[in-house]
Amino acid sequence: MAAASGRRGAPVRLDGLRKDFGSSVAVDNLSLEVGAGEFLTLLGPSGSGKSTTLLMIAGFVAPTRGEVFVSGKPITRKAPHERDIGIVFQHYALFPHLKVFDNVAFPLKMRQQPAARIAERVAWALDLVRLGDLGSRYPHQLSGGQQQRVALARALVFEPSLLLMDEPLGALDRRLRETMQGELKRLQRALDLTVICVTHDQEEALTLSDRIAVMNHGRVEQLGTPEELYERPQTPFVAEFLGESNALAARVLRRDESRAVVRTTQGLDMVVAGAAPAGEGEVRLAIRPERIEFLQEGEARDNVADAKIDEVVYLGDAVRYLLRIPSGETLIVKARSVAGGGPRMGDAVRVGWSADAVLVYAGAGAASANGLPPPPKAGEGRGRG
Amino acid sequence: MLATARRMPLTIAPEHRRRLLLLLPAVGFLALAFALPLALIAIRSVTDPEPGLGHYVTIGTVNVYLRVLAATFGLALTVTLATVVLGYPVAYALARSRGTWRFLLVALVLLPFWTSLLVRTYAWMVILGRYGIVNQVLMALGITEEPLKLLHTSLATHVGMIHILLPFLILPLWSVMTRLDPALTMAARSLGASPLRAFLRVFVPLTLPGVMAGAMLVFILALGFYVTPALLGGPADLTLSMLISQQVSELLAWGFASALAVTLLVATLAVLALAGRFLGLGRIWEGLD
Ligand SMILES: Nc1ncnc2c1ncn2[C@@H]1O[C@H](COP(=O)(O)OP(=O)(O)O)[C@@H](O)[C@H]1O
Ligand SMILES: [Mg+2]
Repeated sequence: MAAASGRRGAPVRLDGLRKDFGSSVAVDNLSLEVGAGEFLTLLGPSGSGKSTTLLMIAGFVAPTRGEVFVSGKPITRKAPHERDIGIVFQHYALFPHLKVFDNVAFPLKMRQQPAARIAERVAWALDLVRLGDLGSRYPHQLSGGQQQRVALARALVFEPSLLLMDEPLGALDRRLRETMQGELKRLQRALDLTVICVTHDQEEALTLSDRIAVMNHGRVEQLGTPEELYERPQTPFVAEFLGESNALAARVLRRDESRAVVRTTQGLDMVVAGAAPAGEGEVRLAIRPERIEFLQEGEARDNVADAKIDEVVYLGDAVRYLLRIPSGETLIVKARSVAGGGPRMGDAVRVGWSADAVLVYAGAGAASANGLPPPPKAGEGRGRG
Repeated sequence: MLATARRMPLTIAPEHRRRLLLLLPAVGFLALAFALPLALIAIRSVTDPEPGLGHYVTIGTVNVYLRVLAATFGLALTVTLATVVLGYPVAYALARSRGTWRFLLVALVLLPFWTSLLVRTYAWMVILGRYGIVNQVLMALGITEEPLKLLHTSLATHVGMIHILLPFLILPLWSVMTRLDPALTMAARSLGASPLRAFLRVFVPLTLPGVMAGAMLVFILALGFYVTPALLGGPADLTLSMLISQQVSELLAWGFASALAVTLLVATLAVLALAGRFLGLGRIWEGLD
């Protein structure tokens, strides 16, 4: 791969960004910092304000309040064409009347670069995305994946200080998406790009990002590394949205310094680790399906329940079970698939989970004060767009 | 859009052939009301008053007829160019507007469009007349002492035809503009193009199919215009359709009038074929749908 000219991505800071559309708030007091060379993803359900945030950074939507800084300098009052930001649009937005070469040369021509330099830079950018020999084609003569690469080359050829992407892989089929994820990550590392990417696809976010900002109702619900978000979601919304989660409402029965016992609304008692939120009040519980295990005779866990299998969904590498426990709750359990074995529909089983598998959040009242919607039924948190 | 300009296959799968029967009423109607009279006109042009190509020889050799033919095409061309120049900004404003503004603009384009052509032509006679609003304003401002002769001039013909034909340019163009992905101009802006350059380098080239579609429509309609040039134009502004009408109603020269009509039709088809060849007819139809 030809070397870039040594420019790396710039640090970006969003400071109290807000956007009102009439009386509705699309983005609300959003502040975050993206380091130079960092890949940050805005992840959230449709309508959570991701695209609006991106458009404010790019200069196409004027913030009602707040400021955008790139390399420490405010750019909020600059026009889009003065911002030096590359964008990959969801449907690529390649110019259909221009050949691939001229598409990629476009930003250089706008910058009045000499022809020789343009030819050299375009060749560099097309090599970068492994499309070296397709310069003379028109966009409609390319496959979806190739169009995606051209869009990337076009956004990178002028070495912008920041790369924005709105659902960049959303229009590709799964196979291609995985390949492109790899390429994207490779490029971002090699060129030391600062990237802000928008997606509602949690898998994409987990694979690509250094950090993820989970957005809901125009706010950042939690900002952290993929691992932090998955292992220690700070709100029920994050637990639901990132990965799958069994959501239960419960009440604290008793507590000591390290543990508490809670009872769900249906009457299932369980031990939870860590000091539960203070007070006698309501709490919300989230348990990852893969943290619940099937137990053999004599095996024990902090929490144990008898259950009947209502549904079995074979996923290939894993199997997803829907269990009903005597108190009436349904639990989702995910287990590695074993050849020819595993419990079947209708089987009576015993399941268990440890106290620290249960994530505990301040109760329903406190959660709605945060602007959270009631928790969706387990399993609905994914793939909303 | 350019990217999707493809030819539709003309072969029809056997299982669909029976559905073609559904076309029968329409085809029958067209055959009776359109193809048959057209054929009769064509036949008459070579049989009335005597068999032979005499009429066509006359049209091709007598200076006056060639001049009228050229003038008709010239008029249609100027009117078309003027509608493009005037209509493009209107279509652009329509495509960009929202809410009340859009409603107002659409009303301004469509209301005249729905008004009878004759009514609008008479309106122009009133406006451009000796004591019409234009002359009164000019005299009130002291620009002229005597009323100017505006009506029954080539200018009046142009103004009237441009006004009547503008919606035929604006509407297809508007449709092309609204279908253009806004991300395309945003992409251009993000890549360093000023608003003007994004417009000239991306928006205009990508809406040209709409311009072509509208211009083609206006041009063909203008070629056959009769009422407006007849009522607004002067004696010197003779168009082919006026000539045809003259031949029929004043001279009862049905055969020669038929030959003129066939000439106009063939010339129009020739223009369409040329446009199709050089601009791609597919694109023009796409601009219209
Ligand atoms: N131009 C606009 N006018 C009015 N409301 C808008 C506009 N753009 C976005 N919104 C609203 O702002 C909210 C956030 O939208 P958006 O940023 O597109 O969300 P996301 O990209 O996360 O799906 C939504 O409720 C949407 O309806
Ligand atoms: Mg969006």
